[in-house]
Amino acid sequence: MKARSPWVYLPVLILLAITVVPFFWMIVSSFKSLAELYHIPITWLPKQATLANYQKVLFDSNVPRYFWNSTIVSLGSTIVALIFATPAAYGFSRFEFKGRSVWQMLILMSHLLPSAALIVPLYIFLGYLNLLNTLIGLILVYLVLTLPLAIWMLTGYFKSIPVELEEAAIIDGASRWVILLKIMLPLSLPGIVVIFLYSFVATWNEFIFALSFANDSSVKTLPIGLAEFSTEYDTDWGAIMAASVIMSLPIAAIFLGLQKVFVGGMMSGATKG
Amino acid sequence: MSDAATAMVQTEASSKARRAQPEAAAPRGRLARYLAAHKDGPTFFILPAIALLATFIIYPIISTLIMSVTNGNGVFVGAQNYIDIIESDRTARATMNTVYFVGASIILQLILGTAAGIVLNEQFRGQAIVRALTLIPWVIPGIVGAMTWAWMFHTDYGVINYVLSSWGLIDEPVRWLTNPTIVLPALTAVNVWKMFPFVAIMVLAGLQSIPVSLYEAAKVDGATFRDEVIYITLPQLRPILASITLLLIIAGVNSITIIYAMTKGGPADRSLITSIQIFVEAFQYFNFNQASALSVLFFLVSTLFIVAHIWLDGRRKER
Amino acid sequence: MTKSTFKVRLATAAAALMLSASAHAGEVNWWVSEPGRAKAQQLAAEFEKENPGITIKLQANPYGGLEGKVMIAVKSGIPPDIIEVQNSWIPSYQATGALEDVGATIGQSVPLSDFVPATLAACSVDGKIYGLPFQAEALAMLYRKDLFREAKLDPEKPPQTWDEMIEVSKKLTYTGPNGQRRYGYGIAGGGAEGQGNTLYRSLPYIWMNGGDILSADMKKSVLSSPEAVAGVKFYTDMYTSLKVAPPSTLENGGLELRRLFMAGTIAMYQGTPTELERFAQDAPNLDYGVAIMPHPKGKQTSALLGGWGFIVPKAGKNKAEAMKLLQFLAKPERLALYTRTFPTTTTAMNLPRFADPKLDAFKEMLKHARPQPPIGTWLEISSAYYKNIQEVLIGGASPQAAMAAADKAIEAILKKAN
Repeated sequence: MKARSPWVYLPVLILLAITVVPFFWMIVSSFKSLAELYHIPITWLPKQATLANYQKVLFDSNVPRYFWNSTIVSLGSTIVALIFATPAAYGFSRFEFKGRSVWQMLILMSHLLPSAALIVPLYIFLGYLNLLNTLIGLILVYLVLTLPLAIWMLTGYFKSIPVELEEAAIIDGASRWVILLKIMLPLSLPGIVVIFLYSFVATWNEFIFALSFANDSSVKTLPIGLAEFSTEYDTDWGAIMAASVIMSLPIAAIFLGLQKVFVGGMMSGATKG
Repeated sequence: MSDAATAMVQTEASSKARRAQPEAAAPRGRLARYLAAHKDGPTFFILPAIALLATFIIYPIISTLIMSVTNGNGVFVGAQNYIDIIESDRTARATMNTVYFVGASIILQLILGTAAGIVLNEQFRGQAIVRALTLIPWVIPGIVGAMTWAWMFHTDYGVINYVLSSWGLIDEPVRWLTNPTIVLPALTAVNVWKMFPFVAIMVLAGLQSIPVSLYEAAKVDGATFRDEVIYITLPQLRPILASITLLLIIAGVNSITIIYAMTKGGPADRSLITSIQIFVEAFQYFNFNQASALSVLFFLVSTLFIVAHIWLDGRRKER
Repeated sequence: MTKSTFKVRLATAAAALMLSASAHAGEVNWWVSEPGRAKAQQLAAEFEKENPGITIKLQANPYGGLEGKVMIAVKSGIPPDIIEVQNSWIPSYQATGALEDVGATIGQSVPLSDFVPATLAACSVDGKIYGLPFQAEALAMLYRKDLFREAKLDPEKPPQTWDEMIEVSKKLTYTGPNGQRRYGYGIAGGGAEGQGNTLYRSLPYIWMNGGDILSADMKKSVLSSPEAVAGVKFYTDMYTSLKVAPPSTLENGGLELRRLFMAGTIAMYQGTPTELERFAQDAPNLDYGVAIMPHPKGKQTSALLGGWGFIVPKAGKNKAEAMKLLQFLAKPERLALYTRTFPTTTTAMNLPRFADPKLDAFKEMLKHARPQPPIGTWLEISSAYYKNIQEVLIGGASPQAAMAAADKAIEAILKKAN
């Protein structure tokens, strides 16, 4: 690919510097010893690169546990959301009924709610259900984030599938559920993958619900573990940076591996608007 | 969170366009209709999801409303909680900070993001990898970005102060996160850094949908790159920028991670925003009822902004 | 629909759903703090062996935000059965009558007279004991002997009075070899646990100067008294005008200060006895001393009593078992095992574990330590205080003006509570 003018590389470099340098610093710091981190003049590369920070995070901290919790919660709420969203989206896309648009509007609105406005009542509610400090509790409240999203996106995908494809099956007497499972789902698989990724990332990064509802280290998720790392492990910046690297890896891997799906999904959505 | 909202608003827009599609024929006959409605009809498809959402959204909203007009013992106190919370100095400060943080963030994100999108749309070596790398701040968890910047901003051992002072630009270390006049701009910068890649990629998508013929025609007329940007690119981008703005507003009112992780709203409330204030009122001072009143106000005001934006956007489209 | 019937309905619904394992009979839910986990496991195993049929479900919470978590748990209606808390939090939990009086229960295990009186007072509200104190400590001044020598100061003569403190701090503030800036005295002004850390490090200065936050009857604020303002001024001047505290002061709490101390950025700071273990582990060659806190000339030094204890919420499901566990814990040797600093009973204090001469200054400070006022709104009051200390540190107000503002805010809090 040839550039129109060599000048284009200047803004490109600036852009890269802005976006990448902090990560460079995060990675460099994660390999420095404590003495080197607290040393002036600052070194640009670790003088004696050490794996001690990673060792500390992986073997002497709760981070692996938080990692596991985050995985369970993100997967759990994403899957549950898809299970509930699929029939709902089908209902919205294929049935005409009273108040349909009202319900759809309500679902859209529910996603616009500022999360902070929900923490107090949800806290009390989870307390009554005895679900505070449980992974199930977190999975359930994360449905607030993932379910409306999944319903909306899936409704869109289902609508884009021509009704004619179903008509033959209806004439053959297949039930709606069979049609949904046998015809609609396979056809919207790419859409489901995108929804899966979006809600996985959204829940993996979620902060305020986890902060409010998961206090015990057995259920804490990675973002909270990282935010509290400094009090738990004595403001050890090397370890915090190592934990940051570890936390970013799966997201970076998903993103770089599935970049086409991700960005493609976003871009095609954007241009349809 | 933004990613989630993004996708949803997009599909909403796209589904609107297709609403005119024919619906499946409804079954005839009273009995058949009844059976269909209850066995194979929309109810069973939709009800489970609606019930779940109602449990975790409608119930909390109602209970917030109730708590906002009662005291700790459940006794009705009218508007007292609202009066108390509105009169509190913290609320005024948090509101100002939220408006500043969200407003300044959105403006800068739009400017930087559009510029980055235009750059990424140019042809150059390594375009694909640069596009992917640009997105990284947006993709990685907010908490990671916050912690990394907090370490870079460290007054005594942060790399930013070190570089600035070794270049002779500053004599005294800058207190990025504790100087009352600098803390909010610094946090805004981090937030912009986090979100502008998202704007960039959306703009990039918008740019690619602009018909090439427009540029070709301009070239025939001898237009420069600058002319192209001003007379073709930006006007063509306007609709997509409007929907991006909506998403940024939603992301803005939901933002808490960066500020909570970096300053917790300090020093002396100088970076307190409303979402943190709700958390603090509820879980640090245990004023659940005032926190509820604040939640209701916050919800109303942010909904107002969102509705106003949608309405204005809709009016412009009609024109 | 009243709140309570609503609550009943929800509880029934929850029971019907049985979405998660609720408390079983014979199971005690015991919350401890993260640093106590290992020892709590040891004690729990011992207890379970002694009491077959009772199992202990242990949950370990980190310090961050613990106060709020416990408060919400206590208010939620389904609290754990026994909880480790800071004694100073007890009055705010008891403000709604949520705690069980445990004085008699403790008394069956150990004579109450064996406790250091201030530690029991710290767990008491209106003369009733709501917690079993197991740990007591007070901050002392830690200082780097090597940096004292570098600045031509006698490392065996740490500053005794406020004037000496200022003078020594100034001498310890300079640019060292390698161009590293050194600061004399690291004060707390923020950080991860800024509010508590700052309170513990600044309030003693007000006290030793004869001032206070609340009047003795806890009915009004006395923060704008000249004595209190002078104490605040002494503390904040270190950063604002004398500049002997590092520029990062508003980012520094106890943990951050310890880092800076080990890095040689600060030569003195106030620390707890737990710091010594951390030094032994992270910086075994650190050359430091421990001294009592400097006081105004002709006055006594002072300290804020820190301590931890176990509480039993009234709404706990397994009261009998919880009380049994409390009695089991209330033995001097177990209290001594569990404490991370000093124990609360005289018997335990005489154990060899607490005889290290390095601990002498801490022991001395403990004698001067006073508990925080037993008032339910203390957290909110100290938050108003902390915010205004920060206000002074960021240059937003003079000590006088800031304490007047805090005074006003605290009066409003007191009025609201009555």
